[in-house]
Amino acid sequence: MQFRVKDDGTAVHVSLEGQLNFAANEDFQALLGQLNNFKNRKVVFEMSGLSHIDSVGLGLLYIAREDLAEGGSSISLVNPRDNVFRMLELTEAHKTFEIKR
Amino acid sequence: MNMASRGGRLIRLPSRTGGWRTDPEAGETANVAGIGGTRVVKDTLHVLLVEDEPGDARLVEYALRMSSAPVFMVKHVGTLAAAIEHIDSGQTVDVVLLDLSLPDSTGIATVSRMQEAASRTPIVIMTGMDDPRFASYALEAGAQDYLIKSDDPERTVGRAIRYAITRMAGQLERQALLERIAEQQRHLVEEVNAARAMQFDLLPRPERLDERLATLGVEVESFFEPSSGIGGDLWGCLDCGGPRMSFYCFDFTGHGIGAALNVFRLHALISDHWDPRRQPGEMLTTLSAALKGLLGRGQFATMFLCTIDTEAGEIEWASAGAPAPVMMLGQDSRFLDARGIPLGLSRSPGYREHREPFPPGAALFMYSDAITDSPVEGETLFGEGGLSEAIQGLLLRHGELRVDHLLDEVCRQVHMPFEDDLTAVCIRRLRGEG
Repeated sequence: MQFRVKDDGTAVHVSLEGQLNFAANEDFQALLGQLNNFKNRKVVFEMSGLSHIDSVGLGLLYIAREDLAEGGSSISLVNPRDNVFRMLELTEAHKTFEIKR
Repeated sequence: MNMASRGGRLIRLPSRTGGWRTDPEAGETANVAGIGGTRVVKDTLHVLLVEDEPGDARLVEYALRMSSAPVFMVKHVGTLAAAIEHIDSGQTVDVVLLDLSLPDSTGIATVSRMQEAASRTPIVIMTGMDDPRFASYALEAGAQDYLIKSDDPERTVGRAIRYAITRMAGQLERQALLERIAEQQRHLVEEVNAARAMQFDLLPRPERLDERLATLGVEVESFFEPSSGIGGDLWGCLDCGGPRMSFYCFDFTGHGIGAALNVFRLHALISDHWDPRRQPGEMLTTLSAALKGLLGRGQFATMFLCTIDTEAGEIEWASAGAPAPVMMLGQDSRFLDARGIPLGLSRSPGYREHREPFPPGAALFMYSDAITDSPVEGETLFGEGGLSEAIQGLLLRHGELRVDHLLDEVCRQVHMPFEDDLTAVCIRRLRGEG
């Protein structure tokens, strides 16, 4: 997984690319380290570049939400591809995250 | 009641071992010569000179006597038998200088016979032949260095001895480390195998179940294979008594030992909280709340739980985000609605209760995401699409779904081996009296 973080003033945009799974763990921790600097912000995960997410990847999103909430930030997941959306739908992630397609 | 603090508390002492011991320095290898900073070349070295030519022997002895640091104590013998006898007598020998043309042994065999007698003592070959191929052959056979007799022994023999001793110490050190790693590996494999046997013991057993299943007219076919010895999947069944039987299938995030420990947790929670009068969704809510406080960050389990009632001809189920099970009747198949928050993410999740007919001839297939998440080619995964097509094909061909047929089909299409734990269970209501 690769990621890019961009702050456009209104929101912090995180573009995810590749697969969000067990192998992404280290990169994701690095991402969380970067996001730690933002407090009380709106953080948008741009997911169109994400080809696959598994249960570990979903767990990482929950960790991100928890960490961001501690800093007063909110998280939304936008533009997931069909198969990624299927995973979010199956696990009723909309009850926890704001999801936009 | 007085709730003022009276100073009680929990004291947790830190671990004294620092966890699993993987540091080779901490073990017996530290006693091996050459490890832990011990000097391997001592001030006085005992040399066993095995040479039948008196002239050659004198030259070497003279060269060694010239050295003062280290001091060489030379024992000269003229045959291999005498050399072995000297070794066997238990006297100190730091290095063997070995001529390969002895009255009782010639050639490379001399090296191996000497090695047999003193496997930890360095050997320096003395040869009259200036042939690098022969020399490297001697080194392969177990000698640590070689000397060409025509060379000036004064210049070469001391260096060769020191080099051979250092080299032997390195070899012994490497050998000890390898043995230690192999020992740890064996130990780890034994541990994982024991844990694996315990995990397989959690699975339903035919001898306990067959009688009940026969009464109900239900056939269950299952496959269970953790990807790394033990894993984060499990399936099971719970007898509700009368015409009812419950089945479940769950899968924790990740695989390996951590996920397997969570499997034991959830299995215990199911046993504790199981009540056949409760609906599947209620049960999942209870399990999620119980797991919430136990699991680490980012950990959760997806779970499917259903109860089949053969008298009512119905199945009721609830799902906590499990891979959508497949319902089959005749040649029709479709995915069930398996949406739901995975267990352990929320303290009070609500789960939809579902109920539908499950007549004789109907079948239900539960599985872990190892099947749908397996890559077909490039970044394309087998997915629900692949599974649905495979099941349709098998229903057309055989009129029913057999788990081994399906796994054959999946294995043909996806890249093997499976990278995640694999569970596949098919529950069939048999046609006939049941």
